This record gives sequence, structure tokens and C-alpha cells, in this order.
Amino acid sequence: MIGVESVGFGYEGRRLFDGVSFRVDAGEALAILGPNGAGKTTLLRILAGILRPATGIVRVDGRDVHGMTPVDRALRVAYVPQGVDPTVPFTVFETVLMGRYAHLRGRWEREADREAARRAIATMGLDRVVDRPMARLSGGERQRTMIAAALAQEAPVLLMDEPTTSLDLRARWETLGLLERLRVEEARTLVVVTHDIDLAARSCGRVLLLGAPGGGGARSAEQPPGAIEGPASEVLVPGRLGAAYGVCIRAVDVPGEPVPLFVARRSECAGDDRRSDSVGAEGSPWRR
Amino acid sequence: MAPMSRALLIGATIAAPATVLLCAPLLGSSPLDLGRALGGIGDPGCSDARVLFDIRVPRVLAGLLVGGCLSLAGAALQALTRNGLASEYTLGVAGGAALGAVTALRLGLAGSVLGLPFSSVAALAGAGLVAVVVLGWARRASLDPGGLLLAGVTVGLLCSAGILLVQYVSDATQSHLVVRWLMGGLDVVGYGSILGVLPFAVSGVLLVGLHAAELDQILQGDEVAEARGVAVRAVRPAVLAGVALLSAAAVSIAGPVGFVGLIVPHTVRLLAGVDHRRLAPLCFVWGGVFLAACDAVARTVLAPAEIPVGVLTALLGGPFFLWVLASRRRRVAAF
Repeated sequence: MIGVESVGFGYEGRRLFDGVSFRVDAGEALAILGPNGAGKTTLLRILAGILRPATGIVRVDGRDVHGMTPVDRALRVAYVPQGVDPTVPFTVFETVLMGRYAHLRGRWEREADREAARRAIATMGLDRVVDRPMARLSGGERQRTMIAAALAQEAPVLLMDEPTTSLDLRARWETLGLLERLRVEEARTLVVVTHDIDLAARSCGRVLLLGAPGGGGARSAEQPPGAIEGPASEVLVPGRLGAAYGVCIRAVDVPGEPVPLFVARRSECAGDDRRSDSVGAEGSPWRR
Repeated sequence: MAPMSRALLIGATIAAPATVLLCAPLLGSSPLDLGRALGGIGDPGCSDARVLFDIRVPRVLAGLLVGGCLSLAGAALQALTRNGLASEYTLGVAGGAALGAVTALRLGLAGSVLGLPFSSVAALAGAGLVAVVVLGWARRASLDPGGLLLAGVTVGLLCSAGILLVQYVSDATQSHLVVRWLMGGLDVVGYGSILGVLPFAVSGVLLVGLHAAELDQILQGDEVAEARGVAVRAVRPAVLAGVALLSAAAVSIAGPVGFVGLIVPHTVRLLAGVDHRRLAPLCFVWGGVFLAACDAVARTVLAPAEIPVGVLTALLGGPFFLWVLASRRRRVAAF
């Protein structure tokens, strides 16, 4: 369980967000969406305890994340950053094993640590490349290795920054399945920063949309953009997405699919164009 | 690593320094009768014994210690900066130590501070100052690795200029001392100067060695390390302090002996992998073996003349540095 209470942050006078509050329980997934520069990654780093918020507090299991020792924190929260340095001189196995740092008793890993690393490697389907250096992996394999290392960390809260960015269609699909398994079978708490609206709609029950115009006004220095948080079907609607990203967005229902397809349109939005279209399914909860 | 090659490596790591310690003292610019030397251990009048035990043995010990310190400092800096070209010389830390020590030499301060030789304390001050300036400032300015090296080289050149200035305002005798010292050599030591820097070396080894697992994590990036549970903000300054201590210990004994901190860590990494819990002790031992062996060569190859060991390591290290530079595209093994 991770709880965020009126957290605010800004860089050099520019306020990124203010008063962000939400709570994600075990077995729940929250997607953080928003335009570039809205502070998605910054918020995730605050949740990870790497960055201190200007205001507010982040609690995991009731304890302030920023008051814990790094090891204590790592036992509760694992974080997969975006874009791994491709030149790290370790193999896949070494990298995943290093995820066990917070569990080390003494200088060396024990059999239990190696076992946890092997499990994480199997979960991420990396058995074929287990002894390969990171530098000789594809971008997707590298990304999955970093997720595996975070899994080996065995923290109940898992934070991921754009886990599907460098993945091909199939690997992306597998990652979606993995998120589902982690959430349902292992009852982990997931927070995922993403540009992938489809991932948010499919895999995350709840969505935090950053960069939405706050208080009905335009963006300005004094008034930071607001954040909308709620069930995915209430936040992921063309009007709200369109306002946050500053483009015209339509939701197109696809027959047989549980969630609509979100398409951005090049042309200026006409007044009534922020509504959703349908090419089939009736009574979809996604339309507003 | 395969168990066989692992056993081989461990065996060699024990055998090599023992061999150097036993054999290197027998080599030198003048011949030595081992039987007479061993017979005259306690006899102050026995010249063979005095040469062996008062000059050559401490010299080999100094080589083992200085080489180990330089090599370990290099390995630590390469991890901290995630740059295979980093070393106490390319980052100017050793230059700072040299400027400190030369200044102490010029001022003729032969005394001690809290029981530690003044030249070592001055070297530590110089090394620490450069470490803080170069790496602290580089972090604040978020320099990329290339920019960091440039900053280090610049500060190193500034230190060289400072050394030239000190030398210019010295009289002929002092100036000659400084020049000889700057060539880098192990020829001026006795047990006293080794014992004098031992506190520096030991605390430096501990500060780096106890953070070996953290260095592995930092190699993946500060953010990843932080998320894994490493207190990066505490580890970086601690390791940096260790590097300053190691550089000061090495430079105040032997003067600026270059390239050990590059050659040895890269070679050991190729043989034994990157894990710093293994790498750190291996670097320390093999750095010592390398320097002591170089010194043995330096004082026999042109016998009866001796070439300063710093000249020899530079002759070996220069081409090696170029090789590392050229192979950076295949960074898998050498990173």
C-alpha cells in the first residue's frame, strides 16, 4: 500500500504539481499519465524516495518513505527507471542478482538470493540470455532485465517508468500480462508511468492524469496544472485527455475489445468533437 | 568464472606477491651475496645484510604498498565516474597530492602532524582538495564523463604549473630534490616512511574496500543504486575520501608514478570480471606486484644505472592508455 498526501514539487520557481493525493492498495495498479514535462517521472522518483517532495508526505504501510533508511525503503519499494545505461559492464544474471542488495546479510549473496534472481529471470522470460552482457542485449531485453532486478528485490510496491517504451508489440503484450499477474497473483502494489493510454486502460484500474488544466483556468506559473485521479473509465475520456495533452482525442470502440482505442486528431477540435465515437460495442462505460 | 580458472587466479594472487617479495630484493645495481647477508642480519657492519634488509626489502615493500594504493584508487574512481579513463592522474587527484608534497618539500617541513609525516599530510590536503573541487563541481554542473575528464586534466595541469612555480622559487639543491622526486621512484625509502603512510593506506583501503558492493550498484547509475537501497549520498564522499587517502599515501612515498591506476584495474577486470568485492582486493595485490616488478626491472635493466620507476610505468602505461581509449567501443569487457 502506498499513500500520497498533498504532495507538491517544482524546479526553480516552476511548480510542476501541487496537492497530489492518492492511495494505491495491494493488488491495485495506478497509471500516471500526462504530457511531457508534466512531472510524471518526478512524481515517481518522489514515490521511490529518491527525491524529496517540496510539500506533502508519501507513506508506505503507514511509514514516511523519506524518513526510512535506504535499505528499509528498498525492502518496501522497488523502482524501475526509464532508459537503462546500455554500457553497464554486467551480465543479465549479475544485474538481476544485484537487485538483492537490500536483502544482503554480509558481503556476499546466499543461495536464497540466487534463487530469487533465477525466479525473476524466469518470470521475465530471460533464461536464454542469462549469461549475456547487458551491452549485447536488445533494448527490450535490457528493459526486462531491469524489471527482473526489481522483482528480485521482492518489494510489495513496484514503481515502473515507461515499462513498455522500447518493447516490440509482442514483448509489450507480455509485459501487460506480467503486470496483471503481479497485481492479481502476487498482490503487489503497482504504479506505472506511461505514455501508453492503452496500457493504462487495460492493466490499471486507476489513473492519475497530470498536467490537466487546474481549476478551469489555463496553465500559469502561479497556478500549477491540476491532477485528476480516479477509476480508469472516468479519467480516460476524450475531453480530459484532450485537455491535458492539448490535442483533440477521440475514443473509438473496437468490437470485441474491452477498452476503446484512443486516437489523436490533427485538426482543431470542433466543439462537439471531444466526444467518443463507436464502431460497434454498445453501452461501453468509457463514453462520457 | 569457471572453478578451475578461479582457483588459478586465487593461487596466482597469493603466489605473485610472495615471489616478488622473495626475489625482487636480490636484484639490484650491485651484486649481493645472499649467504653473507642472511648471516649478518643483526650485524650493523655487514654491508650485504644492510643493503638487503635496510634498502632493498623496504623498497620492495614500498612498491607493493604504493602500487596497491594507486591501483585500488584507480579502480574506485573508474566506478564512481563510470568512466574507464578515470584514474587518480587523469582526474588530477594525484597532481594535487604532488603539489601538496612538493610545497612541503620546498618549505622544508620535515616534522610531523599528530605523528604523521608532514609531507603526507600536505599530499592528503592537496589530493582531498582536488577530489572535492573536480568531482564535487562536476556533479553540481552535471558534467558528462568527457567533461569530467577535461576538468580533471585541467586541474592536473594547474597543479603542474603550481609545482613548476614552487620549483622556480627554490634554490638549486631543493630544485634538484623536487625534480628527482617528480620522476617518481621508490629509492628514497626506509621502513620509517612506509610506517608513516600506513595509517593513510589502511584507512583508504578500508573506505574503498568496505563499499565494494555499493560501487557495483553505482556503476549502474546513481538512481538505480539509490532504488536498490544504497545511500549514494554517503557512499560517494566516503569512497572519494578513500581515494584521496590512497593517492596521498602513494604519492608521498614514491612521487607521481603514473598509469598504475589504469593498467592494473583494466587488466584485472578482463581476467576476473567487474564485481568490486573481488576486484578491489585483486587490484590491490596486483597493483603492488606490478609496481614492485617494474621497479625491479627499472633498477637492473640499465645496471649499474637506475631508471626512475615512474618513467618505466609511463612507458608501459602510455600505449596501454591509448589501447583503452581505442577499445572503448567494445566496452563490454573494459567498460
